[in-house]
Amino acid sequence: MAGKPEYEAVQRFRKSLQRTLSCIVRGAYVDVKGGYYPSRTPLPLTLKDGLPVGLGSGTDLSIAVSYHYRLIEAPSATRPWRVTTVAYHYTLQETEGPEILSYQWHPNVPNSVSFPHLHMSHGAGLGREEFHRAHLPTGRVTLEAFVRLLITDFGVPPKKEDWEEELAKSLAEFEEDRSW
Amino acid sequence: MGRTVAREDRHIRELDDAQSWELFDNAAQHYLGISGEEFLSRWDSGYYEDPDQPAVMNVVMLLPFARSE
Repeated sequence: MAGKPEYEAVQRFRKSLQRTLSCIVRGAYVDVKGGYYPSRTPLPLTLKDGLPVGLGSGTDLSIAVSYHYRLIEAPSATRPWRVTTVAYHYTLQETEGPEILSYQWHPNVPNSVSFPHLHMSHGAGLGREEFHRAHLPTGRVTLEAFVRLLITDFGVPPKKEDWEEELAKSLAEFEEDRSW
Repeated sequence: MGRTVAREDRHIRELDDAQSWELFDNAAQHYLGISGEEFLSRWDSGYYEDPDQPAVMNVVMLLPFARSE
């Protein structure tokens, strides 16, 4: 399968997300299921068993990250296949406590909002009860933006000296494939 | 989990059906304290009228690991 364009498109997508996560998670790996073909149902990717992963170094913070994506045929002679995100879920929580915030987009989940949104939860320390139920509208948020937020504003120590270059590389790959 | 994965490089673990189910089942236990089977039963019956709650959505996002196409 290696060398086929479908395979290369999927692996590029997976490696890009793993590279981004490795900027803040030591030994980051992603779990995936599914093949290298267009599928009716979305394919999943999640960070380390789908469970919260501690960010270490005294931060008392953990993250959980999951994706749904599809492989689609593209009208391009040079890159006939590309991968598109169809749902994302990036959560920051206290390691032994409540969720702080969660960027989400899951338009195909029944009985749920279809637009990208932000949840601010009890761990954010916001007093108004409305925040704990609200779906705060956002644009679509990249994983790179989430990781950058954690490093620059939440004091998460980067695990790579060249984290900015790594994020830029992943973001550039994402921009090449993005359809939104 | 200490499992052997179907195909693996250091950074991407490609799970087979059994391993995927194990991941899903463990996550349902972690986030909701129920088995993966119980979650699927609840999900299919419409038990979660508002799935957009932190613990539930964490498991919903992992549903494709539990179900083959």
